[in-house]
Amino acid sequence: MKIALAGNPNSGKTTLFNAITGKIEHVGNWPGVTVEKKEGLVKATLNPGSRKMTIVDLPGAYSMSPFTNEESITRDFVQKESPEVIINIVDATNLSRSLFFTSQLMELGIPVVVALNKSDLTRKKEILVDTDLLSEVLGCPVISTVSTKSSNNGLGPLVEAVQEVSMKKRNQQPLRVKGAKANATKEEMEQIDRNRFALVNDIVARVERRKIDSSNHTFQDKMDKVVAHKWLGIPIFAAIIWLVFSFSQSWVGPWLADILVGWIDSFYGFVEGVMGDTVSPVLSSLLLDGIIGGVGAVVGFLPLIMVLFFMLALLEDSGYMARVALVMDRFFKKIGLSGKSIIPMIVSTGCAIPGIMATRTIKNERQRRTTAMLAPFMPCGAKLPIIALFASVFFGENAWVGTSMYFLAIVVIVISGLIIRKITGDTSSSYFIMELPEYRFPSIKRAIVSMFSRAKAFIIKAGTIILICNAIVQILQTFNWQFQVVGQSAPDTSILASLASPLAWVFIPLGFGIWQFAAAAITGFIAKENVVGTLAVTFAVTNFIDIEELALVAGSTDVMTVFGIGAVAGLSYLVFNLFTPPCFAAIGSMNSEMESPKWLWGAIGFQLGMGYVLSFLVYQLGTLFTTGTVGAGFLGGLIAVTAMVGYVVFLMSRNAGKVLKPVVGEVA
Amino acid sequence: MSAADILVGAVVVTLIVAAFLYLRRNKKRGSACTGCSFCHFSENCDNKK
Repeated sequence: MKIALAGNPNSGKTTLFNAITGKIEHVGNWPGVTVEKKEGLVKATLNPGSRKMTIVDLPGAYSMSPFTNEESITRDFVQKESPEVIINIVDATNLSRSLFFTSQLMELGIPVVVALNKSDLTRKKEILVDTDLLSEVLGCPVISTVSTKSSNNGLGPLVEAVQEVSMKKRNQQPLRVKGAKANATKEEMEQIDRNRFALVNDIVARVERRKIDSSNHTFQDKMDKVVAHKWLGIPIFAAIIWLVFSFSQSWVGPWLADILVGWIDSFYGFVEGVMGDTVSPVLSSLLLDGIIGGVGAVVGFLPLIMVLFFMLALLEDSGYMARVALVMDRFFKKIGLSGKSIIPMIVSTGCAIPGIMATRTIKNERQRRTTAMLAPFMPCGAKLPIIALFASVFFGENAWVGTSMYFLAIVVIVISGLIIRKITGDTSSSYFIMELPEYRFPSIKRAIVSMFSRAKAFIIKAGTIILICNAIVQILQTFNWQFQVVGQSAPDTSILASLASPLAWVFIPLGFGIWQFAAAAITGFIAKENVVGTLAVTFAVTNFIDIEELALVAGSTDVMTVFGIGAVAGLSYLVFNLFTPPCFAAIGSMNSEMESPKWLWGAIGFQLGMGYVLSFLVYQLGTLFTTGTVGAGFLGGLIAVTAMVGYVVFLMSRNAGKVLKPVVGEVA
Repeated sequence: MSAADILVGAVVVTLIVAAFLYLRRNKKRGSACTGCSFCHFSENCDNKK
């Protein structure tokens, strides 16, 4: 039996889906988290019978009209795949908005069961909903649910109601909406919608009693006046991100990382002891330095990442991230991006791949492609070890480094958006309507689940891609082209050094014209964590976290000396890795979503250019301010940067003076 | 080449082959990435379309 789970955005569909199926799909306290349908079987505890029940979680929709791509997914699924029953999730605290969609679902001729979700919040808000009367008026079962609770959540009665209506095989009578008919004209449709709203308002007036007037300003409204204020919102966001970074990368994270690195070191010592002197140095080095050392150097940052994602999950669950989207919308609108572009950017802070995929909810082609091009600029989870490493080695674990990378990303996105707008000549703009979710105390359980999911993904990546890359890097730096072992005194004659050295010349104006850094930047395109792993292997540093100091490379002089570059060049290298193209998997995603080789190659070229120019500016200006003179390779770099900027200016000037296109609206 | 060399070599090869096989299995499932469980698209990943 196939059951569709349909409802308005942020009504709690995915939370209910997870509770019914036992899955751990990503949920978020904001609209637009689900943009693809997901399937799962109802848990045996809820469905003891032999008949399997498959639940399909559909993206949120306000209506059956195909206003957005994800609404189309919902509409197409319900109309074409004809599920046996539709569970319509209705937000009990917002009946008047939710029942519009309910009334449309009931016209499809498929039995509907209404799950009156968030019923716990109705008590808090002193809203009384007469579920029996609502069931009678709608002509379908109405079950109160609280999908966030693990017991007494109404899910058992909900599944029973679904089984009951599916067995009856009796069509429910749709609500009588005045003038409703198939194949209506646009004007008729608008009138039908007005009639539908009137009918819904009439039903709500009959079944709902509110003790608190919703037009009064609540505490949440007062809080939003500050948190989502157009100017105050920005420093508040900066302070919160700084706190998150301080907590994860300066306070709690390093303490936990130190324990983990202690274990990794013990394991390294154990394997080294077992092998003794009986094993060939080449093999011993491949296992110890290449695999255990390289993977260990990356895994050492796992606690920092876990703490960071735990805190970000708390923020998301509290409803704050939706306010961030609102604050940022103003800037995005000005650069001609869709208001919906914010969602892919925020999703990209976890991983750029789902972030890029989330762009499919944007209707306008230019806005969608531009967002897919710019979303990877947001520092993703894989880039966090690089940030943590360079912040600690060169800046004494300062949380401002990580925080400023997020804000630099936003600035880069805004500038890039403007440039692309000028290059394409498409000046269409959009407005963005997003329903702000209620603030709530974040669920620790959900944050822990989210944190462990990300940790699992990180470990899998370290044990697969990173392991293979580090082994290859170790082999390439052990041998020369005659396949003879390179002596420790002459590492520059290795295959790896000879491959990376020509590229190192290109990086001289950026301050890191050293083959090891060039090699790490290249392996970073396979997976960004590789940057840390490759640096560990090529510089023969088994871990970057100092156990003695109980802090991330505290003092850090040793690693800094080994690297052979200063703080300015370190920052320049960090910027280069953050703002050049993302990993290959993310580029594959860009290819899928852009559906244009011209846009894809343009995006890769633009990202490469952006990374190079930014890195050049950081190194040369930084060196000028700190030493009073420009850095090495200034002239060569200046010529390259001028050529890049000149080409972009030329492309922009081609479309100067184009006519404005009509305004496009988007709803999330 | 000693027995210890063969043993360590076998461990290294096993680790690399296991990593390759895992990635290959993931790719066959339609995921170009490492199948992050937190990814919104892990169920119906069409990254390879």
